[in-house]
Amino acid sequence: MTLVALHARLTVVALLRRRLPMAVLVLLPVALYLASHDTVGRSVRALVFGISWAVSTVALFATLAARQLEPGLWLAGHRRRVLMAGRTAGLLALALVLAAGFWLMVALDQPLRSVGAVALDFAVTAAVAVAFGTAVGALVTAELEGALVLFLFAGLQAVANPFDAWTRVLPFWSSRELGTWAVDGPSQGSLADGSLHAAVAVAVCLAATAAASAIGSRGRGRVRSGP
Amino acid sequence: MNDADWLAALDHELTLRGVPTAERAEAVLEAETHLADSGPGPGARELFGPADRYADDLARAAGAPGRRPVPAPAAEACLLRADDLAKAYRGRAALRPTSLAVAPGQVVALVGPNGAGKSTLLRLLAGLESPDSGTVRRQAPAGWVPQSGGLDPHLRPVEHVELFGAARGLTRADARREGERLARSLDWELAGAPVAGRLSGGTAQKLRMVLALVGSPRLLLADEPYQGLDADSTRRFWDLLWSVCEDGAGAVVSSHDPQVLRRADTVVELRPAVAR
Amino acid sequence: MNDGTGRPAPPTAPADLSREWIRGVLEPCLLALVATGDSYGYELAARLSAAGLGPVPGGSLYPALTRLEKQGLVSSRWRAGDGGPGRKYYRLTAAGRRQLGADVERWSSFAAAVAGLLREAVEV
Repeated sequence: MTLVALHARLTVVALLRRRLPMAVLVLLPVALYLASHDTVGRSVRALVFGISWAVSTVALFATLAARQLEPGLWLAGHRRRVLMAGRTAGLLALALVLAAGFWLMVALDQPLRSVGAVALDFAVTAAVAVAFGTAVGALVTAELEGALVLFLFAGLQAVANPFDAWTRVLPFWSSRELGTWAVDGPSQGSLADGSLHAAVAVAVCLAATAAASAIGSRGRGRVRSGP
Repeated sequence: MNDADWLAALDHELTLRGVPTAERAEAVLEAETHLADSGPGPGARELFGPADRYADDLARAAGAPGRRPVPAPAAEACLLRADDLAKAYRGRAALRPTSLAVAPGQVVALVGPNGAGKSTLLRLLAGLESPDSGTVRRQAPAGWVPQSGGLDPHLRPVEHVELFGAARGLTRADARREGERLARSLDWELAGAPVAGRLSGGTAQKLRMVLALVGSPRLLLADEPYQGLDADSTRRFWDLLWSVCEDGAGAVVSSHDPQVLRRADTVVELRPAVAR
Repeated sequence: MNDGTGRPAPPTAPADLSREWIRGVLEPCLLALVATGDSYGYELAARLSAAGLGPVPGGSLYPALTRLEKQGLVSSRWRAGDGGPGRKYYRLTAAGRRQLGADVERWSSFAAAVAGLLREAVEV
């Protein structure tokens, strides 16, 4: 357990030391929010986009950094599952703090129908973003290409018409659905649909991450340790 | 190939076959006088054949261990054992079938030109990649010294040490203490060092070595580990490696440094795969 | 580990038959030569050649001498040459002399047997 905590802490420490990227990741959603300040729906959507993009990019950074560091740790005797758990715990904590900050801002600034519903939307978005950023980090090799892929998916979700059926394949469809539910009420958006989509998206991302790392270390079973 | 090259090759091939130094020197000198007596005309290759085959015949006649079998410690005593490992990338052979074994206290040197598969072999031994054929059997967690990377540029050396020490069961305080001791033996102060991304190449290499050794692993896998170090640091670096191995750790080190070849217990020579 | 011996041996041409034969009797021949006095590799090769046994390449000669020395049939000693590098002289040991006696016996009967068989074939 202390190993998980140590790894979680150092994951967060390493991310917070990247001051400029972290500042951009926080300020871009704020700028979008201010630009769409006039209506509640648009401003919440801007923040959801901000959370999904910023958190998934942070998760991408942490995953790519881990790819450098972790081989040595595996060989030293760290279990992969422990490292993964520590990294995910650190990312989730950071993501929820970020989401809470944005939520506080919008809750104080806008006449929300339900502050609790918006909090749920932001929290779910943060969790999906951690899973999606981790999966993309396992598939790409460079920060720039990964960040662009994430920008594409988060941006597509922000501008696409959510009633088009195809948009359900986007990882952040649940954010938009839950956002509509939170802002416009149950008549417009479905809590059940959004929650289910989020759960499926996380599961798919976990499977993709596992598959990518399995391909990266194919046949590791042939290396036996212990007599 | 002229005669001098052939004689040098013979010397090298005899070394690889475990022929003792004195006998090796005599064999080379004897061939040299024979060539001098023969005068101009047929060269060494005509009179003696290819250096490696002649070395085989001489080594066998002298009862030297020879290239095969690898001087293999008993299976249960091995820290690491690899049998007939081979690897190809996109159909291009990166490593020809290679076997080796490491017993406690032994240093195995990997030599060979670029592209012969030294790094590939080390990654296979570490389990970071899978072989196309062959098996690796590793008894113990290992210290890993990659040529590059392996660090988080945004973490301080001390934080790295805590993380790697934790993997081997050290508390944060113990890990720091041991990391500082190892760093000092490399003439480097760990405490107060900036994040890894701001270390010079040589200092980053020292950090990699410290991380590989913190917690005293019984096996060390190092890929040209002295890169970027100045002469003094290189010497300290080898001294540290030898002392760790004298304490019973085993090591596989890829290197061009003649020091390694002199002090290694086994030299594994890799040759580039022949393009087909 | 790379197999240094993996290369196939070049095929033996029929004209090389005497080379195949000398390989079998090279060690007794060397014992016989050093029995007449200490000698070194190049001189031994020259004497084998002069005796009509063809050129014996260094690649066969020195491994054979090494084997004899390891078996204790010859001993060796370095003597300084005239200006050049020293030469390794081989000398027959007592064990070598006994071995040579046994080899002479065995070769004589073997050669007689082969000669008899071949002559029979010609006469028929």
